Amino acid sequence: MQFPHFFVPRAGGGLLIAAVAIFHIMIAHFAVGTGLFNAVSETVARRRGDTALREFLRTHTRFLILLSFVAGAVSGVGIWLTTAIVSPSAISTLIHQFMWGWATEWVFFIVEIAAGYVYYYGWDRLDPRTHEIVGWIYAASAWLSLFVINGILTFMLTPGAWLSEHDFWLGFFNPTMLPSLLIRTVSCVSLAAIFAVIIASVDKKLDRDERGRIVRYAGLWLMSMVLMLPLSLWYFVMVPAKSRDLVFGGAVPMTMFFVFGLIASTILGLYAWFGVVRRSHDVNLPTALTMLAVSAIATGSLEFVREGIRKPFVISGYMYSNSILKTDVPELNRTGILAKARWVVPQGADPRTATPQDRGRWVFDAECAQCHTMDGFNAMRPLVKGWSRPLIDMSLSRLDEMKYFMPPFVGSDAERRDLGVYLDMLDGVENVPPRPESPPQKEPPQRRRQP
Amino acid sequence: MNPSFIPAADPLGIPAPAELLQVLLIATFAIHFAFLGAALGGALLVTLTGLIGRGNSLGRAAIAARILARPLPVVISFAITSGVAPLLFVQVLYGSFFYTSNVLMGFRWLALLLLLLVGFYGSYYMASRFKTRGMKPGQRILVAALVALAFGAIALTLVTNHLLSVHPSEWRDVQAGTMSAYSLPTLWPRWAHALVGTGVMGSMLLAHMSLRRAACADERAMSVARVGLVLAGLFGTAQILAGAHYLFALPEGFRVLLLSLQHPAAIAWGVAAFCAVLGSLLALVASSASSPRPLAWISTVLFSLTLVGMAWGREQLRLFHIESLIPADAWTHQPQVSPIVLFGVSTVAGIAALVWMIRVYMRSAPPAHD
Ligand code: HEC
Repeated sequence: MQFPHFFVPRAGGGLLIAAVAIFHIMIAHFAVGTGLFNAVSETVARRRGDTALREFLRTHTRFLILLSFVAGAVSGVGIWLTTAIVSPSAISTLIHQFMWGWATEWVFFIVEIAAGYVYYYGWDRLDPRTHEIVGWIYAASAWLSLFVINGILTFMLTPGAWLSEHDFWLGFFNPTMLPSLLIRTVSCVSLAAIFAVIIASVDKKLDRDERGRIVRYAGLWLMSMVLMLPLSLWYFVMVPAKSRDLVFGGAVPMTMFFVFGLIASTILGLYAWFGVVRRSHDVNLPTALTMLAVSAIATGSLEFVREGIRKPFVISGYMYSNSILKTDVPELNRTGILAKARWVVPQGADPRTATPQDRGRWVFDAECAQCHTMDGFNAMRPLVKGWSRPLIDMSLSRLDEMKYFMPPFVGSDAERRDLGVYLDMLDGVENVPPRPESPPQKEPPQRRRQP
Repeated sequence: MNPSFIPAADPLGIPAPAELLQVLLIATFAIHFAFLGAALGGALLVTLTGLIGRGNSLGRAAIAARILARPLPVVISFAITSGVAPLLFVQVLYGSFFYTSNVLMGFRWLALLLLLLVGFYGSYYMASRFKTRGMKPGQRILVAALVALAFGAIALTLVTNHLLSVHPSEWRDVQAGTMSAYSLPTLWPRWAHALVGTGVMGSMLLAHMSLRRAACADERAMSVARVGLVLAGLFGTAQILAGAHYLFALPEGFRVLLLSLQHPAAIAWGVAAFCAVLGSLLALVASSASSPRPLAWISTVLFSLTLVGMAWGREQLRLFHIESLIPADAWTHQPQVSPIVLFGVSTVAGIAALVWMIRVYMRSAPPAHD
């Protein structure tokens, strides 16, 4: 509201963030998991004198460098850029409250990258013992960086006692921090294990026995997936009651994604024992890729649920998804939102002399456009199609009761009426029989605003 | 500018005194710029030397291109990684300005991701092709040029965004589309200044990489190192001209502030300019010295000081534009003592780990030559 709004045609900003985030989370989890997997495995290989396993880890690391160091770093920057452009106020909150956390994470990140390169380029240069230590430095710094980020991300859903006292540690060690950390750690090592299976099934240097041994070994790691079920239940016991209700029946898509994610994870965990460890010779590339797909869908589903149940807040109990602070609502209801959301009013226009329709559109841009596009994802036009004025007005006065995931309408009574006029007009435009291009002032806002 | 368009300060305040954050911003920006400069300048030089040496794969130019192409992926990796810290501090100090210009740039800002992806993967591809000589010289050079182009565009995007963030008076025009962010005053001289600077860093990277090889009695590497030093000196000299050009494009008031050398930032800037002149001279002298190494290092240190001083001047220029517009309560702070301690401790531990790893790596047997 304080900032100009970034319009993503059709999809909306939320989808843009989701796309970048899911991609990044997969890669980042892989990077952390590979750290732990390689460090432990190299130690195991040295103790057992298993040269095939050690040689295999080198291939695994090449993959890590090419996939996660490049795509991971770029998509990580991508998350910063997209969230900051779509939701600047929310990012600003995270940055201001947890700046020292982020700075600490950055240190771990630098060490992680440096260790990764020394680990990879040092395979033949460093003596095995030193190399192993570098592997452990990589594992530790990668996991610590997950530790920090996890604390900050879980804060968004369960800020807990932070709400009454804006304290760093209260926010960081919040109710879901620990279960979420464990969930993510499991997800990390299982991804690394799946990639190990994939690489083992294409690595030409391995003979049949070696391949079987490595696949079996990776299968043991993958079994950790069965922990997803108890850990997720623990996690959902800790989330606010309203969010929990969404998952356990309140919102059908949420329930479906949740159940689906858990079933997929559990099946993968069980398959790790029955299919991978017990029958390691039967595992081939298609099986491995299927496992990857299942795990991607499981991760994606659970992330989707995690994001979804936070609505209508971006930071629970503090800031709504449309960047309005909960504590600002009474004042905004008194003064009107257009008094504060200056950017939605086009240059040269004046809310006092504008038509109700225009004012309504600006109100929409100020507090609805973060979640609703006009004709694309979660589109407004079809949602209110055929609605009468009284129905619209009635809905606007109880938006938050109508749908769990919507914040209440914020603004003056006059603004609510204006928004009603605007929404009513959307419907009118739709229902009028075909006519040539609508005049410029009636174009939907998302198209007019393209920079 | 109607100040009501400048977003209000974040109600949480900042978690440390603004001065501390400014110092951290300047320091981490200088580090970031060193890597980014080596990456962009390096890619430019690979293109250049590749072009010159394309007929003779044993000549100095061709060897220089090969030596320089190798480390670029790692350099780029650190350019990106090190950029996260200044990104953090700029948000906490100047969020009202920074985010607004991000949004106004819109997809052109997000295009950074595409450019990064092209530049980064391109650099890996380039490095492997130069190593195995797996492509026709012309194709290799094309890849190098693509990497340089991507990073040049990234630099332009960053400069534009920064300029837009310090020109709130133009925001509404840019939003309305009646003005392009690329027509902001000083944009092109500023970008040119940055670009020429990257030439110095790329040349220095070349010089040091070659000197490392020359340490194992590689005569050709030594002569390439001399080329690197000459280039560093030449780019340094060109930079003095580009800098003067930029200086005279700056607002009069700020130029006077710099040239009067009254303000601490102006003194830092003056020292930086002096170091740049001296560094360029020493690089040229080193290039023909019988043992170039000590002078090369002194010159590198001088250029590094230049970078820090210039970064300081850059922050002062930002304040010159927007200090009076920063929301009154933006910098009220409540120091978070224990998180600061956590950061301090992890920084010390992190540096120790870095130093140890780099030492064991450098001391291990160097790779076989090609
Ligand atoms: C936090 C994101 C969010 C914000 C902000 C938001 N909405 Fe919604 N809204 C939703 C979601 C999600 C739905 C459900 C869509 C569906 O059922 O397909 C919805 C549904 C609706 C519906 C249809 C309700 C029904 O019963 O079918 C209306 C009308 C609506 N929103 C209006 C608005 C208006 C007006 C605003 C601005 C004042 C607004 N919304 C702000 C997320 C949001």
